[in-house]
Amino acid sequence: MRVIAGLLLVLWIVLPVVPVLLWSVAVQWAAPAVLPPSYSLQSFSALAATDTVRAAGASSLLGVGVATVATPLGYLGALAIQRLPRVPARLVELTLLAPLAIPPFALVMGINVAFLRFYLLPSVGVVLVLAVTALPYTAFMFRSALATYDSRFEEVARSLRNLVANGPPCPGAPARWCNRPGILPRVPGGLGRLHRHAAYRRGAVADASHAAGVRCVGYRE
Amino acid sequence: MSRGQGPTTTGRAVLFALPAVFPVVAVLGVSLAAAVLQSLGLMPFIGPPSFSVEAWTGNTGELVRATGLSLNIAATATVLSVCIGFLIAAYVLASPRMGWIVGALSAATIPIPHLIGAGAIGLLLSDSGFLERVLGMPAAFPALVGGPWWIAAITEYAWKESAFVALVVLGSIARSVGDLCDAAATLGATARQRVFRVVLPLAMPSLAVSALIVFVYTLGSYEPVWLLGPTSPEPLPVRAVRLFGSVDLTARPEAMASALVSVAVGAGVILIGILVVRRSREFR
Repeated sequence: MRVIAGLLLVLWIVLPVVPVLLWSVAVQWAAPAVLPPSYSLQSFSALAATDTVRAAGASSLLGVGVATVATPLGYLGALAIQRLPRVPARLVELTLLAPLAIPPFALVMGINVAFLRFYLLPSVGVVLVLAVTALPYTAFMFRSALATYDSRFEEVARSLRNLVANGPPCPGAPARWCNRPGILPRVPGGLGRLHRHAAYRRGAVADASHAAGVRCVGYRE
Repeated sequence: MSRGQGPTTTGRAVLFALPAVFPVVAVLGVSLAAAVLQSLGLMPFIGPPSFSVEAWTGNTGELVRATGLSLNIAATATVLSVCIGFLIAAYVLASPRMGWIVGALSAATIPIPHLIGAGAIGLLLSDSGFLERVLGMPAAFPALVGGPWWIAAITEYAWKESAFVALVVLGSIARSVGDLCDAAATLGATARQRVFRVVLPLAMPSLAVSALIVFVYTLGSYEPVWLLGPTSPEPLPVRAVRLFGSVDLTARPEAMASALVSVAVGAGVILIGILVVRRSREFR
Protein backbone atom coordinates (compact mmCIF):
# COMPACT_ATOMS: atom_id res chain seq x y z
CA MET A 1 0.00 0.00 0.00
CA ARG A 2 2.75 2.38 1.03
CA VAL A 3 4.83 1.47 -2.03
CA ILE A 4 1.84 2.10 -4.32
CA ALA A 5 1.27 5.50 -2.72
CA GLY A 6 4.95 6.32 -3.21
CA LEU A 7 4.89 5.26 -6.85
CA LEU A 8 1.75 7.33 -7.49
CA LEU A 9 3.43 10.39 -5.97
CA VAL A 10 6.58 9.81 -8.05
CA LEU A 11 4.36 9.47 -11.14
CA TRP A 12 2.59 12.75 -10.28
CA ILE A 13 5.92 14.55 -9.91
CA VAL A 14 7.79 13.01 -12.86
CA LEU A 15 5.12 12.45 -15.54
CA PRO A 16 4.87 16.07 -16.79
CA VAL A 17 8.63 16.19 -17.33
CA VAL A 18 8.73 12.97 -19.41
CA PRO A 19 7.27 14.37 -22.68
CA VAL A 20 9.60 17.39 -22.46
CA LEU A 21 12.64 15.11 -22.12
CA LEU A 22 11.43 12.81 -24.92
CA TRP A 23 10.66 15.72 -27.27
CA SER A 24 14.14 17.15 -26.66
CA VAL A 25 15.80 14.02 -28.10
CA ALA A 26 13.10 13.01 -30.65
CA VAL A 27 13.72 13.47 -34.36
CA GLN A 28 10.11 13.12 -35.44
CA TRP A 29 7.32 11.93 -33.21
CA ALA A 30 3.96 11.62 -34.95
CA ALA A 31 0.70 11.04 -33.13
CA PRO A 32 -0.09 7.42 -32.33
CA ALA A 33 3.52 6.50 -31.43
CA VAL A 34 3.98 6.32 -27.66
CA LEU A 35 7.77 6.71 -27.96
CA PRO A 36 9.76 8.57 -30.64
CA PRO A 37 10.84 6.21 -33.48
CA SER A 38 14.36 7.67 -33.58
CA TYR A 39 16.48 9.77 -31.28
CA SER A 40 19.08 12.47 -31.81
CA LEU A 41 20.84 15.13 -29.76
CA GLN A 42 20.62 17.55 -32.67
CA SER A 43 18.12 19.87 -30.98
CA PHE A 44 20.68 20.52 -28.24
CA SER A 45 22.92 22.21 -30.84
CA ALA A 46 20.49 25.12 -30.57
CA LEU A 47 22.00 25.74 -27.13
CA ALA A 48 25.23 26.85 -28.81
CA ALA A 49 23.46 29.30 -31.16
CA THR A 50 24.51 32.93 -30.68
CA ASP A 51 20.97 34.02 -29.82
CA THR A 52 20.59 31.39 -27.11
CA VAL A 53 23.97 32.21 -25.59
CA ARG A 54 23.17 35.92 -25.65
CA ALA A 55 19.76 35.32 -24.07
CA ALA A 56 21.28 33.08 -21.39
CA GLY A 57 23.91 35.75 -20.71
CA ALA A 58 21.26 38.47 -20.40
CA SER A 59 19.13 36.32 -18.08
CA SER A 60 22.12 35.46 -15.88
CA LEU A 61 23.18 39.10 -15.71
CA LEU A 62 19.65 40.10 -14.74
CA GLY A 63 19.52 37.35 -12.09
CA VAL A 64 22.89 38.38 -10.63
CA GLY A 65 21.88 42.06 -10.69
CA VAL A 66 18.59 41.43 -8.90
CA ALA A 67 20.22 39.12 -6.33
CA THR A 68 22.97 41.68 -5.69
CA VAL A 69 20.36 44.35 -4.97
CA ALA A 70 17.71 42.27 -3.19
CA THR A 71 19.92 40.17 -0.90
CA PRO A 72 21.60 42.96 1.11
CA LEU A 73 18.36 44.96 1.19
CA GLY A 74 16.50 41.89 2.47
CA TYR A 75 19.14 41.41 5.16
CA LEU A 76 18.81 45.03 6.27
CA GLY A 77 15.01 44.71 6.31
CA ALA A 78 15.21 41.54 8.41
CA LEU A 79 17.61 43.21 10.87
CA ALA A 80 15.26 46.19 11.13
CA ILE A 81 12.26 43.93 11.80
CA GLN A 82 14.17 42.22 14.58
CA ARG A 83 15.45 45.41 16.22
CA LEU A 84 12.54 47.85 15.86
CA PRO A 85 9.83 48.14 18.53
CA ARG A 86 6.81 45.91 17.86
CA VAL A 87 4.48 48.25 15.93
CA PRO A 88 7.02 49.75 13.50
CA ALA A 89 8.51 46.27 13.03
CA ARG A 90 5.06 45.01 12.03
CA LEU A 91 4.71 47.89 9.56
CA VAL A 92 8.08 47.16 7.96
CA GLU A 93 7.16 43.47 7.80
CA LEU A 94 3.85 44.17 6.04
CA THR A 95 5.50 46.60 3.61
CA LEU A 96 8.18 44.08 2.67
CA LEU A 97 5.49 41.39 2.18
CA ALA A 98 3.25 43.65 0.08
CA PRO A 99 4.86 42.81 -3.31
CA LEU A 100 3.63 39.22 -2.83
CA ALA A 101 0.04 40.44 -2.87
CA ILE A 102 0.36 42.31 -6.15
CA PRO A 103 0.35 40.25 -9.34
CA PRO A 104 3.58 40.90 -11.26
CA PHE A 105 1.69 41.79 -14.45
CA ALA A 106 -0.32 44.47 -12.60
CA LEU A 107 2.86 45.92 -11.08
CA VAL A 108 4.60 46.14 -14.45
CA MET A 109 1.59 47.45 -16.37
CA GLY A 110 1.08 50.30 -13.94
CA ILE A 111 4.70 51.34 -13.75
CA ASN A 112 5.40 51.10 -17.50
CA VAL A 113 4.17 54.58 -18.42
CA ALA A 114 5.57 56.09 -15.20
CA PHE A 115 9.09 54.79 -15.96
CA LEU A 116 8.79 56.14 -19.52
CA ARG A 117 7.93 59.58 -18.12
CA PHE A 118 10.84 59.45 -15.62
CA TYR A 119 13.23 58.58 -18.52
CA LEU A 120 14.47 55.63 -16.45
CA LEU A 121 16.96 53.32 -18.21
CA PRO A 122 15.05 50.14 -19.15
CA SER A 123 17.64 47.83 -17.55
CA VAL A 124 17.54 49.82 -14.29
CA GLY A 125 13.74 49.72 -14.29
CA VAL A 126 13.63 45.96 -14.82
CA VAL A 127 16.19 45.30 -12.07
CA LEU A 128 14.32 47.65 -9.71
CA VAL A 129 10.93 45.99 -10.27
CA LEU A 130 12.38 42.47 -10.04
CA ALA A 131 14.33 43.37 -6.90
CA VAL A 132 11.14 44.65 -5.29
CA THR A 133 9.34 41.38 -6.14
CA ALA A 134 12.33 39.41 -4.76
CA LEU A 135 12.55 41.39 -1.49
CA PRO A 136 9.79 39.49 0.35
CA TYR A 137 11.74 36.27 -0.20
CA THR A 138 15.19 37.56 0.78
CA ALA A 139 13.85 39.49 3.77
CA PHE A 140 11.91 36.53 5.14
CA MET A 141 14.69 34.01 4.51
CA PHE A 142 17.01 36.24 6.57
CA ARG A 143 14.26 36.79 9.11
CA SER A 144 13.81 33.10 9.81
CA ALA A 145 17.59 32.66 9.88
CA LEU A 146 17.91 35.51 12.41
CA ALA A 147 15.08 34.07 14.50
CA THR A 148 17.15 30.96 15.25
CA TYR A 149 20.26 33.09 15.83
CA ASP A 150 21.14 33.28 19.49
CA SER A 151 22.11 36.83 20.44
CA ARG A 152 24.40 35.35 23.09
CA PHE A 153 26.81 34.50 20.26
CA GLU A 154 27.26 38.20 19.79
CA GLU A 155 27.92 38.70 23.51
CA VAL A 156 30.42 35.88 23.44
CA ALA A 157 32.14 37.32 20.38
CA ARG A 158 32.36 40.67 22.15
CA SER A 159 33.65 38.94 25.26
CA LEU A 160 36.26 37.03 23.29
CA ARG A 161 37.49 40.29 21.85
CA ASN A 162 37.77 41.65 25.38
CA LEU A 163 39.46 38.43 26.40
CA VAL A 164 42.19 39.03 23.86
CA ALA A 165 42.45 42.67 24.85
CA ASN A 166 42.32 42.28 28.64
CA GLY A 167 43.32 38.73 29.39
CA PRO A 168 41.14 35.96 30.75
CA PRO A 169 39.12 36.09 33.91
CA CYS A 170 39.25 32.33 34.20
CA PRO A 171 40.67 30.32 37.04
CA GLY A 172 44.19 29.24 36.33
CA ALA A 173 45.18 32.45 34.62
CA PRO A 174 48.39 34.10 35.76
CA ALA A 175 47.86 35.98 38.98
CA ARG A 176 48.87 39.30 37.44
CA TRP A 177 45.80 39.15 35.17
CA CYS A 178 43.37 38.62 37.98
CA ASN A 179 41.24 41.36 39.37
CA ARG A 180 43.05 41.70 42.66
CA PRO A 181 43.26 44.72 44.89
CA GLY A 182 46.39 46.45 43.72
CA ILE A 183 47.82 49.80 43.34
CA LEU A 184 46.21 50.75 40.06
CA PRO A 185 42.55 50.77 41.18
CA ARG A 186 43.46 53.19 43.87
CA VAL A 187 45.27 55.55 41.56
CA PRO A 188 43.09 58.60 41.16
CA GLY A 189 42.32 59.86 37.68
CA GLY A 190 42.52 58.29 34.27
CA LEU A 191 44.84 55.35 34.84
CA GLY A 192 42.84 54.08 37.82
CA ARG A 193 39.57 54.52 35.98
CA LEU A 194 41.02 52.58 33.08
CA HIS A 195 42.01 49.73 35.32
CA ARG A 196 38.66 49.67 37.09
CA HIS A 197 36.92 49.69 33.73
CA ALA A 198 39.08 46.79 32.49
CA ALA A 199 38.33 44.84 35.66
CA TYR A 200 34.64 45.50 35.22
CA ARG A 201 34.79 44.31 31.63
CA ARG A 202 36.61 41.17 32.65
CA GLY A 203 33.80 40.42 35.07
CA ALA A 204 31.29 40.93 32.24
CA VAL A 205 33.33 38.56 30.07
CA ALA A 206 33.07 35.84 32.68
CA ASP A 207 29.32 36.34 33.05
CA ALA A 208 28.65 36.29 29.30
CA SER A 209 30.91 33.29 28.69
CA HIS A 210 29.26 31.47 31.54
CA ALA A 211 25.77 32.37 30.31
CA ALA A 212 26.54 31.03 26.84
CA GLY A 213 28.16 27.93 28.23
CA VAL A 214 31.51 28.83 26.72
CA ARG A 215 34.56 27.65 28.56
CA CYS A 216 37.79 29.49 28.48
CA VAL A 217 39.80 27.78 25.79
CA GLY A 218 43.15 29.54 25.97
CA TYR A 219 45.04 32.32 27.60
CA ARG A 220 47.13 35.04 26.22
CA GLU A 221 50.64 34.67 27.46
CA MET B 1 20.01 41.93 20.66
CA SER B 2 16.56 42.50 22.02
CA ARG B 3 13.70 44.46 20.53
CA GLY B 4 13.93 48.28 20.82
CA GLN B 5 16.72 48.63 23.37
CA GLY B 6 16.80 52.39 23.26
CA PRO B 7 16.62 55.42 21.03
CA THR B 8 20.05 54.72 19.47
CA THR B 9 19.21 51.11 18.63
CA THR B 10 15.79 52.11 17.29
CA GLY B 11 17.34 54.90 15.23
CA ARG B 12 19.84 52.50 13.74
CA ALA B 13 17.06 49.98 13.04
CA VAL B 14 15.12 52.68 11.18
CA LEU B 15 18.24 53.34 9.07
CA PHE B 16 18.41 49.60 8.35
CA ALA B 17 14.75 49.55 7.33
CA LEU B 18 14.90 52.51 4.93
CA PRO B 19 16.91 50.98 2.05
CA ALA B 20 14.55 47.98 2.00
CA VAL B 21 11.28 49.82 2.55
CA PHE B 22 11.90 52.77 0.23
CA PRO B 23 12.16 50.83 -3.09
CA VAL B 24 9.08 48.76 -2.21
CA VAL B 25 6.98 51.80 -1.31
CA ALA B 26 8.27 53.73 -4.34
CA VAL B 27 7.65 50.97 -6.90
CA LEU B 28 4.31 49.86 -5.45
CA GLY B 29 3.11 53.43 -4.88
CA VAL B 30 4.08 54.69 -8.33
CA SER B 31 2.74 51.55 -10.01
CA LEU B 32 -0.66 51.58 -8.27
CA ALA B 33 -1.06 55.36 -8.59
CA ALA B 34 -0.16 55.22 -12.29
CA ALA B 35 -2.59 52.31 -12.80
CA VAL B 36 -5.44 54.23 -11.11
CA LEU B 37 -4.68 57.37 -13.12
CA GLN B 38 -4.49 55.39 -16.37
CA SER B 39 -7.73 53.53 -15.63
CA LEU B 40 -9.41 56.94 -15.23
CA GLY B 41 -7.89 58.31 -18.44
CA LEU B 42 -5.75 60.85 -16.55
CA MET B 43 -2.39 59.45 -17.66
CA PRO B 44 -2.87 58.35 -21.27
CA PHE B 45 -0.07 56.72 -23.28
CA ILE B 46 -0.58 59.40 -25.94
CA GLY B 47 -2.88 62.39 -26.23
CA PRO B 48 -4.29 64.79 -23.64
CA PRO B 49 -5.68 63.43 -20.35
CA SER B 50 -9.46 63.34 -19.99
CA PHE B 51 -11.29 61.96 -16.95
CA SER B 52 -13.59 58.99 -17.63
CA VAL B 53 -14.90 56.00 -15.64
CA GLU B 54 -15.77 54.16 -18.84
CA ALA B 55 -13.06 51.52 -18.18
CA TRP B 56 -14.78 50.60 -14.90
CA THR B 57 -18.43 50.88 -15.87
CA GLY B 58 -18.36 50.20 -19.63
CA ASN B 59 -17.99 46.44 -19.50
CA THR B 60 -18.83 45.51 -15.91
CA GLY B 61 -20.29 42.13 -16.86
CA GLU B 62 -17.07 40.96 -18.46
CA LEU B 63 -14.99 42.28 -15.56
CA VAL B 64 -17.18 40.44 -13.03
CA ARG B 65 -17.08 37.23 -15.11
CA ALA B 66 -13.28 37.41 -15.37
CA THR B 67 -13.00 37.95 -11.61
CA GLY B 68 -15.28 34.99 -10.87
CA LEU B 69 -13.34 32.75 -13.25
CA SER B 70 -9.99 33.78 -11.73
CA LEU B 71 -11.30 33.11 -8.21
CA ASN B 72 -12.59 29.68 -9.29
CA ILE B 73 -9.33 28.64 -10.91
CA ALA B 74 -7.28 29.91 -7.95
CA ALA B 75 -9.54 28.19 -5.38
CA THR B 76 -9.53 24.81 -7.17
CA ALA B 77 -5.76 24.94 -7.74
CA THR B 78 -5.16 25.90 -4.09
CA VAL B 79 -7.29 23.05 -2.70
CA LEU B 80 -5.53 20.51 -4.95
CA SER B 81 -2.06 21.91 -4.19
CA VAL B 82 -2.62 21.85 -0.44
CA CYS B 83 -4.03 18.28 -0.44
CA ILE B 84 -1.32 16.84 -2.71
CA GLY B 85 1.41 18.89 -1.04
CA PHE B 86 0.36 17.57 2.36
CA LEU B 87 0.31 14.00 1.01
CA ILE B 88 3.85 14.42 -0.32
CA ALA B 89 5.04 15.87 3.01
CA ALA B 90 3.32 13.13 5.04
CA TYR B 91 4.78 10.45 2.77
CA VAL B 92 8.30 11.90 3.08
CA LEU B 93 7.95 11.87 6.88
CA ALA B 94 6.37 8.41 7.03
CA SER B 95 8.68 6.40 4.76
CA PRO B 96 12.37 7.10 5.26
CA ARG B 97 13.86 5.54 2.10
CA MET B 98 11.19 5.97 -0.61
CA GLY B 99 10.16 9.24 1.09
CA TRP B 100 13.63 10.63 0.51
CA ILE B 101 13.26 9.98 -3.25
CA VAL B 102 9.78 11.54 -3.35
CA GLY B 103 11.00 14.57 -1.37
CA ALA B 104 14.06 15.09 -3.57
CA LEU B 105 12.07 14.76 -6.83
CA SER B 106 9.38 17.10 -5.54
CA ALA B 107 11.93 19.72 -4.46
CA ALA B 108 13.66 19.41 -7.85
CA THR B 109 10.52 20.68 -9.63
CA ILE B 110 10.47 23.94 -7.65
CA PRO B 111 13.04 25.83 -9.77
CA ILE B 112 11.12 24.98 -12.98
CA PRO B 113 9.43 28.21 -14.15
CA HIS B 114 5.62 28.15 -14.52
CA LEU B 115 5.98 28.86 -18.24
CA ILE B 116 8.06 25.71 -18.75
CA GLY B 117 5.68 23.81 -16.47
CA ALA B 118 2.77 24.97 -18.61
CA GLY B 119 4.57 23.79 -21.75
CA ALA B 120 5.25 20.42 -20.14
CA ILE B 121 1.63 19.97 -19.04
CA GLY B 122 0.55 21.01 -22.54
CA LEU B 123 2.71 18.28 -24.13
CA LEU B 124 1.31 15.79 -21.62
CA LEU B 125 -2.42 16.56 -21.71
CA SER B 126 -3.11 18.07 -25.15
CA ASP B 127 -4.95 16.31 -27.97
CA SER B 128 -2.68 13.46 -29.18
CA GLY B 129 -0.30 14.44 -26.37
CA PHE B 130 1.78 11.98 -24.36
CA LEU B 131 -1.04 10.85 -22.05
CA GLU B 132 -3.49 10.21 -24.89
CA ARG B 133 -0.82 8.20 -26.74
CA VAL B 134 -0.04 6.14 -23.63
CA LEU B 135 -3.78 5.42 -23.24
CA GLY B 136 -3.95 4.21 -26.86
CA MET B 137 -5.63 7.28 -28.40
CA PRO B 138 -9.18 6.68 -27.04
CA ALA B 139 -11.92 8.44 -29.04
CA ALA B 140 -13.48 9.81 -25.86
CA PHE B 141 -10.33 11.59 -24.65
CA PRO B 142 -11.61 14.90 -23.20
CA ALA B 143 -10.35 18.32 -24.21
CA LEU B 144 -8.06 18.98 -21.23
CA VAL B 145 -6.03 21.75 -22.87
CA GLY B 146 -8.23 24.65 -23.95
CA GLY B 147 -11.34 22.84 -22.67
CA PRO B 148 -14.17 24.46 -20.75
CA TRP B 149 -13.01 23.21 -17.32
CA TRP B 150 -9.50 24.64 -17.34
CA ILE B 151 -8.20 21.21 -16.33
CA ALA B 152 -4.71 21.54 -17.85
CA ALA B 153 -4.12 24.99 -16.31
CA ILE B 154 -5.37 23.85 -12.88
CA THR B 155 -3.24 20.69 -13.14
CA GLU B 156 -0.17 22.80 -13.90
CA TYR B 157 -0.77 24.98 -10.83
CA ALA B 158 -1.43 21.93 -8.66
CA TRP B 159 1.73 20.21 -9.98
CA LYS B 160 4.04 23.18 -9.32
CA GLU B 161 2.44 24.46 -6.14
CA SER B 162 2.02 21.08 -4.40
CA ALA B 163 5.82 20.82 -4.42
CA PHE B 164 5.97 24.28 -2.84
CA VAL B 165 3.39 23.35 -0.17
CA ALA B 166 5.31 20.13 0.61
CA LEU B 167 8.55 22.08 0.95
CA VAL B 168 7.02 24.64 3.32
CA VAL B 169 5.30 21.98 5.46
CA LEU B 170 8.43 19.81 5.66
CA GLY B 171 10.58 22.81 6.52
CA SER B 172 8.32 23.85 9.35
CA ILE B 173 7.55 20.52 11.03
CA ALA B 174 10.36 18.12 10.07
CA ARG B 175 12.24 18.74 13.31
CA SER B 176 9.38 18.48 15.79
CA VAL B 177 7.29 15.75 14.21
CA GLY B 178 9.69 12.81 14.58
CA ASP B 179 9.57 12.47 18.37
CA LEU B 180 5.81 13.01 18.51
CA CYS B 181 5.21 10.35 15.83
CA ASP B 182 7.49 7.97 17.70
CA ALA B 183 5.56 8.63 20.91
CA ALA B 184 2.23 8.09 19.12
CA ALA B 185 3.52 4.88 17.53
CA THR B 186 4.69 3.63 20.96
CA LEU B 187 1.20 4.33 22.28
CA GLY B 188 -0.23 2.17 19.50
CA ALA B 189 -1.27 4.72 16.86
CA THR B 190 -1.50 3.34 13.33
CA ALA B 191 0.22 5.05 10.40
CA ARG B 192 -3.07 6.67 9.33
CA GLN B 193 -3.73 7.92 12.86
CA ARG B 194 -0.22 9.35 13.06
CA VAL B 195 -0.73 11.22 9.78
CA PHE B 196 -4.16 12.65 10.64
CA ARG B 197 -3.82 13.09 14.42
CA VAL B 198 -0.19 14.18 14.72
CA VAL B 199 1.23 15.39 11.40
CA LEU B 200 -1.89 17.21 10.15
CA PRO B 201 -2.49 19.34 13.27
CA LEU B 202 1.21 20.24 13.41
CA ALA B 203 1.17 21.16 9.71
CA MET B 204 -1.99 23.29 9.89
CA PRO B 205 -0.28 26.70 10.35
CA SER B 206 2.17 26.14 7.50
CA LEU B 207 -0.62 24.69 5.33
CA ALA B 208 -2.75 27.77 5.95
CA VAL B 209 0.05 30.19 5.13
CA SER B 210 1.14 28.31 2.02
CA ALA B 211 -2.49 28.02 0.88
CA LEU B 212 -2.77 31.80 1.13
CA ILE B 213 0.42 32.30 -0.88
CA VAL B 214 -0.63 29.74 -3.52
CA PHE B 215 -4.08 31.31 -3.87
CA VAL B 216 -2.77 34.83 -4.33
CA TYR B 217 -0.03 33.66 -6.69
CA THR B 218 -2.45 31.64 -8.81
CA LEU B 219 -4.91 34.51 -8.93
CA GLY B 220 -2.30 36.81 -10.43
CA SER B 221 -0.46 34.29 -12.57
CA TYR B 222 -0.64 34.76 -16.33
CA GLU B 223 1.32 32.17 -18.34
CA PRO B 224 -0.43 28.84 -17.52
CA VAL B 225 -3.97 30.17 -17.99
CA TRP B 226 -2.94 31.95 -21.18
CA LEU B 227 -1.18 28.90 -22.64
CA LEU B 228 -3.48 26.10 -21.45
CA GLY B 229 -6.91 27.69 -21.12
CA PRO B 230 -9.62 28.38 -23.72
CA THR B 231 -9.60 31.77 -25.46
CA SER B 232 -12.96 32.67 -23.93
CA PRO B 233 -13.97 33.41 -21.17
CA GLU B 234 -10.80 35.09 -19.98
CA PRO B 235 -9.47 35.20 -16.42
CA LEU B 236 -8.33 38.61 -15.10
CA PRO B 237 -4.60 38.39 -15.91
CA VAL B 238 -5.20 37.21 -19.48
CA ARG B 239 -7.77 39.93 -20.06
CA ALA B 240 -5.51 42.61 -18.60
CA VAL B 241 -2.43 41.60 -20.61
CA ARG B 242 -4.44 41.22 -23.84
CA LEU B 243 -5.94 44.71 -23.46
CA PHE B 244 -2.55 46.14 -22.43
CA GLY B 245 -0.87 44.79 -25.56
CA SER B 246 -3.76 45.71 -27.84
CA VAL B 247 -2.97 47.84 -30.89
CA ASP B 248 -5.90 49.99 -29.77
CA LEU B 249 -4.23 52.26 -27.20
CA THR B 250 -7.63 53.32 -25.89
CA ALA B 251 -7.95 49.81 -24.40
CA ARG B 252 -5.24 50.71 -21.84
CA PRO B 253 -7.66 52.10 -19.21
CA GLU B 254 -9.66 48.83 -19.32
CA ALA B 255 -6.41 46.86 -18.94
CA MET B 256 -5.55 48.94 -15.86
CA ALA B 257 -9.04 48.40 -14.40
CA SER B 258 -8.62 44.60 -14.77
CA ALA B 259 -5.16 44.75 -13.18
CA LEU B 260 -6.45 46.86 -10.29
CA VAL B 261 -9.36 44.47 -9.69
CA SER B 262 -6.90 41.58 -9.42
CA VAL B 263 -4.76 43.62 -6.99
CA ALA B 264 -7.83 44.42 -4.89
CA VAL B 265 -9.05 40.80 -4.86
CA GLY B 266 -5.54 39.57 -3.92
CA ALA B 267 -5.23 42.11 -1.10
CA GLY B 268 -8.74 41.29 0.15
CA VAL B 269 -7.99 37.56 0.21
CA ILE B 270 -4.75 38.16 2.12
CA LEU B 271 -6.53 40.33 4.70
CA ILE B 272 -9.30 37.74 5.18
CA GLY B 273 -6.68 34.99 5.36
CA ILE B 274 -4.67 36.81 8.03
CA LEU B 275 -7.83 37.46 10.07
CA VAL B 276 -8.93 33.82 9.83
CA VAL B 277 -5.46 32.55 10.74
CA ARG B 278 -5.31 34.91 13.73
CA ARG B 279 -8.80 34.05 14.96
CA SER B 280 -8.43 30.29 14.98
CA ARG B 281 -6.92 28.93 18.12
CA GLU B 282 -4.94 26.25 16.33
CA PHE B 283 -2.66 28.78 14.73
CA ARG B 284 -1.74 30.74 17.83
